[in-house]
Amino acid sequence: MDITMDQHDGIGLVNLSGMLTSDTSEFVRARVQSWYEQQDSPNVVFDLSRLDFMDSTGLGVLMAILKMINEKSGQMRIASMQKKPSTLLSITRAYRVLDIYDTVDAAFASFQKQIDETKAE
Amino acid sequence: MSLFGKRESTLEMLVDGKFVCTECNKLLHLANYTPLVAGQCEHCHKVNFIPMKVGDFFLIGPLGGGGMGAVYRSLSVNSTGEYAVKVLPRSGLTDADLIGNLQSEARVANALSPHPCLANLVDSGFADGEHYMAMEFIKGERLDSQIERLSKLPEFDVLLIGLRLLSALAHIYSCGYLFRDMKPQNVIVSADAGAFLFDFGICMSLEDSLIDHGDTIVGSPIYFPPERILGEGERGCSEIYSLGMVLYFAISGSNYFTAKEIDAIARQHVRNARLSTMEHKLKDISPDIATIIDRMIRRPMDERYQTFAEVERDMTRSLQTRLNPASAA
Repeated sequence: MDITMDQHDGIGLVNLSGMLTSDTSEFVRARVQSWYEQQDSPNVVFDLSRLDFMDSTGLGVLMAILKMINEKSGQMRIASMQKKPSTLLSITRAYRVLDIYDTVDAAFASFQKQIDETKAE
Repeated sequence: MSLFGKRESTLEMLVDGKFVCTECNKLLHLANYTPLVAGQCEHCHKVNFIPMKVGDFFLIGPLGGGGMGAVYRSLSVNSTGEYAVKVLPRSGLTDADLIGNLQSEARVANALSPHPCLANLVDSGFADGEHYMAMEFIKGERLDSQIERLSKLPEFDVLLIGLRLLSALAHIYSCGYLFRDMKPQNVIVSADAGAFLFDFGICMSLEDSLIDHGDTIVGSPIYFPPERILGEGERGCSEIYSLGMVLYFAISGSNYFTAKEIDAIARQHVRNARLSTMEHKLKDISPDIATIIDRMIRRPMDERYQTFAEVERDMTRSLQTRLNPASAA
């Protein structure tokens, strides 16, 4: 499991690659948490285009991260999911609580649109 | 006008301290009635449920509950949608144990929320003289009612429900808890085939679950694992056992243990060699699913699946086989 974390246009970007399972979930949770605590912007996009597999424990980690972000009044977007992790999200109806986008660009654009709308008000 | 009908006007009236009789449609004043019980309309004598305000919520109809608390369908003054609000039983408003239990359940629910397969906590606290916890209201049918209505569920649906509940249990476990009350009565199946766990009343931390709690055995004996009776301490595979029992019920339409007496069920639970094995009770179920359930409900803990991931892998494989038979090879 590899994680890279970055920031673009004031929005956090987390890339997960490999397998998000019970073996790697604590590592991911801890890494993302320590990074997020140092961020100025509360909003984050998760690029999962290189995430090959995710099980229920992995999904639980995404939920824990979502909670952490929401508690700081931030929002989390999931983008570019491969078929296998996407199947799990479909089975569990995870789109009920997760904002899922086809591409990273679309996820960023949704944040930008929000910013534009807020400015317009 | 029905109390559950036009949400906005219903809420507006409730905020004004009024509600409408479901029979004669005349306005009634909340202050003239005892809340949360049936009250007769002063005009037509029709019996109505009397709403109550708790914090930001108006409790507008009973959903269920027991000695530990009662759950009501509720509206919020701050947001749209409906909620399920749990308050203490009327006879136990000042009972320190009940208050502690409700607060503890709210803390656990807060630690576990959000998850797509749980009824997530929305709010909790003390307001208007009531301790309360507010959860998402899941529109759907309780799993036990659905099984009763349909006699049994198709294998494909059981796999889907199983994977969803497994996801919830794995999440609860990764948060440091065991759910400990897996039973069809604690599962809501929504119209879009989602499955949701609710009622965290006997959730326990992983540390506490390893301890023998002596004579205090809580839960549903048809579904709880034999180690609870034996005081052996519980682990993740204990949750897997209970889920296996629920899935057996869903797929066969009857409980694995048929004895009506709890003592008899307890005796069957702890019998080392189960009388009925796959050849009997699981014989009408497809072999792949029967094998999964059999491994989930083995009496010795070390013969069961040890991790949620193992069950998930096998269930997903069975599901994919049904979605795309060519992938079976």
